[in-house]
Amino acid sequence: MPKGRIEVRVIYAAVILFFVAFLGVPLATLFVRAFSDGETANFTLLNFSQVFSHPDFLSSLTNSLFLSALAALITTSLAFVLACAVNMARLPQWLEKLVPIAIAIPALFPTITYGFAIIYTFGRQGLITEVLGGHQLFEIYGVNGLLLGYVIYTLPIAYLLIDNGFRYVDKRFFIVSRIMGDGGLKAFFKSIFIPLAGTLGAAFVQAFALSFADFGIPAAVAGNVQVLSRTLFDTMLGAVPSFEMGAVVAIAMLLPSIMSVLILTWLDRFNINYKKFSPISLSKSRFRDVSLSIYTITLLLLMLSIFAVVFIIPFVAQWPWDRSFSVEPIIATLTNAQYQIIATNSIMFAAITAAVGTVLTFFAALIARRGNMPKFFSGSIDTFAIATNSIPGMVLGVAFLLFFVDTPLQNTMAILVLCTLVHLFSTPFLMFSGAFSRMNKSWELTAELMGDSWFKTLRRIIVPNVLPTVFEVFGYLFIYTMVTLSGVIFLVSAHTTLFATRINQLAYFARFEEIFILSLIIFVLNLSMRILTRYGARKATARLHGSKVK
Amino acid sequence: MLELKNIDKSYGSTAVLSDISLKIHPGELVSILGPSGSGKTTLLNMVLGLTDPSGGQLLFEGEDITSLPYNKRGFNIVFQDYALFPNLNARDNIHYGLRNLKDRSTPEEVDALIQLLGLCDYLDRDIDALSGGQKQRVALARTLVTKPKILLLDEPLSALDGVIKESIKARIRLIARELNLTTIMVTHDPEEALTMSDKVLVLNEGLIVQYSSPIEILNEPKSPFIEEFIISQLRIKYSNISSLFDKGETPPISAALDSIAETSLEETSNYA
Repeated sequence: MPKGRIEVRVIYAAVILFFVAFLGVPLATLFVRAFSDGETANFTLLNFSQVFSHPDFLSSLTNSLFLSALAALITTSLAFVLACAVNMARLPQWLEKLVPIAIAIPALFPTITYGFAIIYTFGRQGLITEVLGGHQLFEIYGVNGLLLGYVIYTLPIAYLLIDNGFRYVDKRFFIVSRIMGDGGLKAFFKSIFIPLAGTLGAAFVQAFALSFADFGIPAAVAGNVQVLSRTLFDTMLGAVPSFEMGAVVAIAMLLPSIMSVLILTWLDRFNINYKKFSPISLSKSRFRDVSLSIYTITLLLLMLSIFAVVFIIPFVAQWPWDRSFSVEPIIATLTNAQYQIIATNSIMFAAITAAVGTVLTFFAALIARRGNMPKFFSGSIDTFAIATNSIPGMVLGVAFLLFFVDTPLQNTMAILVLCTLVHLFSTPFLMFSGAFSRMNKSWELTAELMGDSWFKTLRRIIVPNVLPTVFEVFGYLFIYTMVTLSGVIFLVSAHTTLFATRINQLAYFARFEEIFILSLIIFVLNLSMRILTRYGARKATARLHGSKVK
Repeated sequence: MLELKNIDKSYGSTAVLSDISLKIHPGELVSILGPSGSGKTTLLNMVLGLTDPSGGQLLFEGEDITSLPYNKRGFNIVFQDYALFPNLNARDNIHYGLRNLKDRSTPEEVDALIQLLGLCDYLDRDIDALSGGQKQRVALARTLVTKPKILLLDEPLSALDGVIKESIKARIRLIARELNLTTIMVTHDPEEALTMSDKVLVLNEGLIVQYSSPIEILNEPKSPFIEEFIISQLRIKYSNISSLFDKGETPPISAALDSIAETSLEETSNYA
C-alpha cells in the first residue's frame, strides 16, 4: 500500500481490487480449467494434447495466424500510402478534410456488420455485382471476405497510428537529404521511411492483433474457413460444448495477443521522436499530387461503398425482389416490442459502461499520474492497463463465463458492464494519463496551501481542466461498448440481449434486412454520441481558453 | 523570526545539504543563491515543509516546526511556472484562497493589493490572455491575499526578461517593504539576488559559502567561490554593457547594481 494521503490510498486499493476481482481471478480460473479434468477437477495436460493434436484446431490456428498477418500487411501498406498522400502531397483541401471523417466511419459499426455489408455488396445479388451486370468480382465467403473485412476493420487504426507518426517526423531532413544529393526515393527512404519504421511495425502488429481476436467478421463471411475465434465460439457454445477445451482454445488465442503487446512495447523504442518537427514545403509535382489524390479517393470510396448497403437495404421493401422505397421495415422494427427491449438494453449497457468507465479510468489515471505514489504503485496500474490491452475480448468473456457461472452476477447487465470495462480499459486510461501529465504539476499543492481539501481541488480545478478529455473518453466508451460483440458474446442472456449479439443471432435465420436496420440504428446512435461528445469537448476546451465554439 | 539550526539533508549516502544554520528576521527579503545542484530548491522546500530534513531543527517564532506539515505552517509559495488555474480568470485566481480562508483578507485589503500590483485592468482576463509579467503578478496576488507568514518565491524571474523582469523585481521589493513580509527567494542569478535582497545566502554543494548583505558579499567575499561564481559573472556582464555604450571604462559593479536597484517602479510598470 502506498504511503501518502488517504484518498489516494483508498482509490489505489479500489482500482487494484477491481483488477484482481475482474481480471486476475477470472483469468486464473481460465488457466485452472484448461489444466483440469472436467469430471474430477484433477490436474491434467490432456486437454492441451487433445486440442493441439486435433487437425481442425491446427488448421484454424494456422488460418488465423496467416490471414491476420496477410491482412495486417495489406492494411499497413494501404495506410502508409494514404498517410503519405495526406502528409507528403498537395491534396485538394476538401479531400484532406474528408480523410479523417471518412476513416472514422467504420468504427461506428460492429465488425459483424462489415461481413454482412461485404455479402450485400460483392455477393451474387450484391450492389456492386449488380452494377457490374451480375458479374461477381470474387468469391466472398472464406479467405477473400475475411481479408477484406479485416482490412476495412484495421485500416482506420493503422492509418491513425501512421498519420500520428508522420507528425513527429521532422520533414526538413527530407530537404537536407535532397540538398546533399540524394535522389527522391533515397531521400524518402532515409528521412521518412526509416524514422517511421517503428510506427509501421506498430501498425502491423496492432492490425494483426485486432484481426486475430475479431469474432464479428468470421461470424459473417468465414464460410468453410475456420479461424480461432469461431473455433472458440463453437467449442464453448456449439452442439457439444466443452468448457475445458474452450479454456485451452482461449489460451491459444491469448498467447499471440500477449506477444503482440510485448512487441508493441519493444517497437516503441524504435520510434524516433524529433524535438522539433515542421511541415514540409512541398516541391511541385503534378504527377505525385494527382496520382495520390486518385489513390485516396479510390480507397475511401471502396471502403465507404461497402457500407452503402446499410443505408439502402433498410429503406427497400424486400431486397432483392421488391426494390421499391419503403419505410415499413424500419417502422416494423422500431415498433417491435422485442426490439424496444433490446434497444433499451443496448443503450443502458453503453451508457452505464461509459459512465462507470469514465469514472474508473479517470481515478486510475489520476492517482497513477498525480497521486505522488512511489513508482512501483503507479507502475502497477500501468501494468494492469497494458494487460487489459493484450487480452482479446472473447478470452475475457470465456474467463468471466467460467468464473461467474452460478453466481448472482451470471446473466445480468452488471457482468456485461464489468467485462467490457476491463476489455476497453486501456485506451481511456491512456487518454486520461496524457491529459493529467500535461497539467501543471503544482496545482494540487498550490490549492492545498490555500486551504483546499483534495476533493475540493479535484472539483474546482482538476475536473474543469480535464473536461474535454472526459467528453472524449465517454464518447469512446459509449461507441466501442455499442459495437462490441466478442467481449459479450458468451455473457448475454435472453434478458440482456444487445443489438450486436442480436445481429449474430439473426444471421442464423438469414434475416439480413433486420441486421442492416439494427446496424443503422447502432450507427445513428454512435454518430449522435460522437457529435455530442465532440461538441462537448470543443465547448469545454473553448471555455478553458476563453473563446467561443465555432 | 525563522531559524534554521544545523540542518542536514541526504538521500542515501549523497549529502544535499550540510550543517545549514541561519536566522531570517521578520520583514527581511533573503535570496538563496547558488549554481544548479547546490541545494537551494531543497532548502526552500524544507522551509515550506515539502521535504523533511535528515537532521537539525527549524524554528519559527521560537516554535519547533521541523515536523509540522506544510499545510499547518502558514507559509506559501509562488512557483517558478506560477501554477495558475487556467479554468479561472485572473480575479477568480486571486480570490481562490479566500473561499477557504474567508477572514484572511478584507475586500478592501484585496483591492489595495490588486492596485499595488497594478492588476486592476486585467482582472476579467483569462489566464491564457495574460503576459508573463501579468501572470507572475496574479500568482503573487493569489498567494498574498492569504497573508502567508513567510512568502517563498521559486525562481520568480526566470521566465521573464527585459523591462518586465525589472518591473517584477521592483514590485517584489515594494511588497516585501510595504507588507513587512518575510520573503525567501531562490535564484541562480547573482544580479537578481544582489539587487533585490536584504541578505543573500550563497550555497555551493550543499554548504553555506556566505550569508550576508549584498554589499558585504561584493566587498568582502569570504570564499574564492564568490569571486568565481558571482563577481566574475557580473564583471563580464557589465563590461559587455559598458562596451556597448563605448564609454571605454567598466563601471564599478556595486555602482551598476545600485543603479538597477534604484530603478523606480514607475519607470518599468507600464511594461509588465
